Amino acid sequence: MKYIYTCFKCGFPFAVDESECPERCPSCSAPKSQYLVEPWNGSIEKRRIHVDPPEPDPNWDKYDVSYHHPKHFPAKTRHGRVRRFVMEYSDPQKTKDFYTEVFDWDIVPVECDQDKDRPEMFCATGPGFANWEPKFPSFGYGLLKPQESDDTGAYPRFVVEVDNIDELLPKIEAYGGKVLKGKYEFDGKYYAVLEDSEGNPFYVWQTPEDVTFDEPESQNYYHWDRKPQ
Amino acid sequence: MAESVSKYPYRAPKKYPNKDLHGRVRFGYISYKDFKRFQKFWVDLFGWDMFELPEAAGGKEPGSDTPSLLVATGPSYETWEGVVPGHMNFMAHYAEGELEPVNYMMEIHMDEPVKCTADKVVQYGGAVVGEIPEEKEGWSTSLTVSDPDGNVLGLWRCPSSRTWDEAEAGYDKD
Repeated sequence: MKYIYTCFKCGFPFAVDESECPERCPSCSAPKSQYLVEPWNGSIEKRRIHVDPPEPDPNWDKYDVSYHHPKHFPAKTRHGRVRRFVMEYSDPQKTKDFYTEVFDWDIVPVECDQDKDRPEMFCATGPGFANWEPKFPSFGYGLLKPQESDDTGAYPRFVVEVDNIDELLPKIEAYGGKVLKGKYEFDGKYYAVLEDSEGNPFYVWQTPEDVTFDEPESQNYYHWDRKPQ
Repeated sequence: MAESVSKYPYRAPKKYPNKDLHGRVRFGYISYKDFKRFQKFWVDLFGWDMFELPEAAGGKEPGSDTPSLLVATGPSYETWEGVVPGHMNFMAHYAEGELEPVNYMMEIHMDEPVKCTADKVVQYGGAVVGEIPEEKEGWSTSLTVSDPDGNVLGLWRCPSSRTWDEAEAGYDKD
């Protein structure tokens, strides 16, 4: 017989036949004893049991990876956010056609002084504002770069925004990372290329001075029903 | 690096008016060799928050020394989906062999078989990595492909349980 199970620990609802009911919650790993059960009524949306999700715990041990609500990120900083993915190409038209035709991306050359035949290209992978920032949460925009453009040879694959590169760089080696390319300026913005403790290369990009923190992408919380549209 | 967002391109991005997240880059995949070292680097220096994926999703028993993780790189809600636009969360896993290059997971059409996207990937110079999975009604399905330059892409077809009330499921309604 099919039932709706709602996890008391995380609030996640799911519907399966009792013979297939998992021993642990598919969302948070809580044991089966934590499930609240009701008969299947044709729709999860019509279930009668609702469990409030957990709230961020300000005293949570930051190294504890058991299930919890993600931490409350502080206001007026975008430090640590992965802001762009980066991939490299050999043939610009072939790559542009691939992502445009297969995945419906919108791709434009980055507006700057660059090689027009092998440009760095900015990619919208979903809805965005006029300033080419994503309009909705939980997906990213990115960059397609010509293979020869990376002078570190490390092939960095993402861009992390940081508050202050000068303050960050002296700490990198102490945590097992490497500075592959020190702070540099491009088009009035500051960057560096780093490697994490495992060898993953990435860019850091310093928050520009003209950021007001009123931008949607600068917020640290959106109420559930306060959608940016 | 020409990663400027101060000078925006000369037009707004195109509209995405359909109930469809096809092509959105939803998560990055990053690998590690030493979990504690990896965690300390990203948690202490960049403020990331990490949650151990359930065994059904991450393939590791609870409390493993080499856990599979969901990583909030910025504000996120209790499902570990981002709650603010403009940043991506990551998944992290132990690299059994060599460290694996960071790659990305995209959503694909919910209302057609993954094989349709796989065929198009091949048509435009990409390749399917491994087998095309058997699909079950109501379950998510994933597939790995590569682009013409060998960049690996995870493709994920969301199950039909999406209600379109989720914050991440927004689309251009105007």
